[in-house]
Amino acid sequence: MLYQMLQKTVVEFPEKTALVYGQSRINYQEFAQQVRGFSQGLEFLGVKQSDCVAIILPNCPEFAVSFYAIASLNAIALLLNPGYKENELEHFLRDSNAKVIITDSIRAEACQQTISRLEHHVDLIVVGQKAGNSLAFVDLIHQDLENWQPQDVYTGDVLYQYSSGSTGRPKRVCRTQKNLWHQAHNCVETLQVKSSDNILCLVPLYHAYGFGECLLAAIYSGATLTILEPFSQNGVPVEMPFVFRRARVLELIEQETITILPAVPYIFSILAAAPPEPYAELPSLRLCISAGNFLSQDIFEKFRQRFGIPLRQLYGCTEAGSVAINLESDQEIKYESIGLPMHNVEIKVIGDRGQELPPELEGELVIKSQTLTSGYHNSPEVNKEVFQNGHFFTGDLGKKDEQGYLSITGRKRIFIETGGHKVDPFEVEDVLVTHPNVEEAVVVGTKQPYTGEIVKAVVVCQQQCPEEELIAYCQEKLADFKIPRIIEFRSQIPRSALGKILRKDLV
Amino acid sequence: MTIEELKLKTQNVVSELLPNVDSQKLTNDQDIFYLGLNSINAMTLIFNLQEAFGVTFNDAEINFDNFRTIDDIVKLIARKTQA
Repeated sequence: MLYQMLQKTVVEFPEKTALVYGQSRINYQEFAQQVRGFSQGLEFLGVKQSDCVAIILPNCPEFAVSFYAIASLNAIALLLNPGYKENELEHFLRDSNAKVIITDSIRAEACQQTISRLEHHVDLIVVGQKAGNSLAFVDLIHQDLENWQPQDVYTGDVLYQYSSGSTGRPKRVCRTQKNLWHQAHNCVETLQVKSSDNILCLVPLYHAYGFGECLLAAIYSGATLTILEPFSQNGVPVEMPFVFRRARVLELIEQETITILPAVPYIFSILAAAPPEPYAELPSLRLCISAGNFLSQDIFEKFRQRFGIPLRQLYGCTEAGSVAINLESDQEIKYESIGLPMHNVEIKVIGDRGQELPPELEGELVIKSQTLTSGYHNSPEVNKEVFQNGHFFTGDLGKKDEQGYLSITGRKRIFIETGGHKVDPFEVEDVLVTHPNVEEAVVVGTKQPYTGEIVKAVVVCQQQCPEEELIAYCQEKLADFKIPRIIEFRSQIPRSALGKILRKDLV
Repeated sequence: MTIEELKLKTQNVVSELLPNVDSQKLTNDQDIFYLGLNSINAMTLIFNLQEAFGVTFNDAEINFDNFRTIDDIVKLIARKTQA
């Protein structure tokens, strides 16, 4: 189904630029050719229907080629954060039984180490310089496509992502080709994405937001996807804070006449603080979408003041993709609203007794959509709780106004929102308490300017233990954005009379 | 302000953002991003430096190479304050 979606675009817009990445540009015909060529390479490795192939890549054209090649074989792509450390990768690769990993030369060694700890054989494909007995991505793009035949239209499983859902620990979410086709369709219809649009991809493609609003939306509509290339030093990509890429991002918006900019509040706050020279305004932009974290009034107003464009909040989740967006007129737009449900999506506000609530009353947001996963893998108890009669109970609290416009008012779950990432405090606590000196650990978010929150750990130790040792311990086991920036030592954790941890007292 | 004073003031601004880092590790040529500065506090670093020294960095100056070490920052600020 997804390959046919791509093919339809190729037939309509063969010469249209599909992807822009640094100095390179490929059109839809070339993109589809690479997809077919790479799918042959994967087939040569034995990848077949329902096999899992992990993509552990930063945003790059090979990410898009890999995903569509996997989909064209009716196999399943597992999208993982390229910042994950070996023990995180090991958990996800084992849980999903991945047969192949596609990564880049920077992460190849970590992947090789991880593979050596797995019980099953895994092929490693490397974009760029290959290492050890890995395979080069480019060598697997077969050029002889005479015998290549697309599979019949397939609506089955195609995507694995991990979500903490409304209840903490990451769980595997599987979505089908049919789910993703509907997600692309709903997004394009709601946002009125056309082939003349240019979408700038700053948000990670492994995440449901970037994957849907950037990759799926572009391929479905024939729009051009411009991917921000990494900064390179001596030919080696260097990761750096977004503020140091701001000048390049503004240049790209102007050069590529970007019309749609999906990003997170943190990115918009940094763009809003850009000096007035050399880009006083960005006239090509027609739609700036904010999602991932709560958008503050301060960022909304500063961005509008700086560029004259309102930020429009979009709401979604890994389980269903994007489901609502605020498309109110420029004059009437309210920063806090996530707008109306997208095309073909139903969102209800449900009370404690399961009843639908009238306007202005706060309840849990419940989604019904063709884009929705059928449930979490291996979690029957959670599934029973959050997936009921085709509806998904999001764990987010919200309300509707008289016109049906939705806003989020709180969350049942507790995440720390830091620099565009969501951190599950329980995951960090789980790591800290495995340190031999740590008796108890509670992780909270403390408010910081520009970043939302930073991760703070409050620990009770059996013996004296230097902060640096605990941070180094976390660095070994957790992606960088999850590592506590502040560690506070206490003799005990404050609790209520009923024994509940008083997290607010620890912020 | 002398270069030594600039260095000291810059060290103080950086140290505030790296409370867990031993001040002895914060040498003039140490990569401060290696010590723990990251996307989360880079923007705050820029704002705090602007405020501390009464300067405004333009977008071309806000690049990784100008903010990687205390020496890099001092060089940039010295250039701006002399101009």
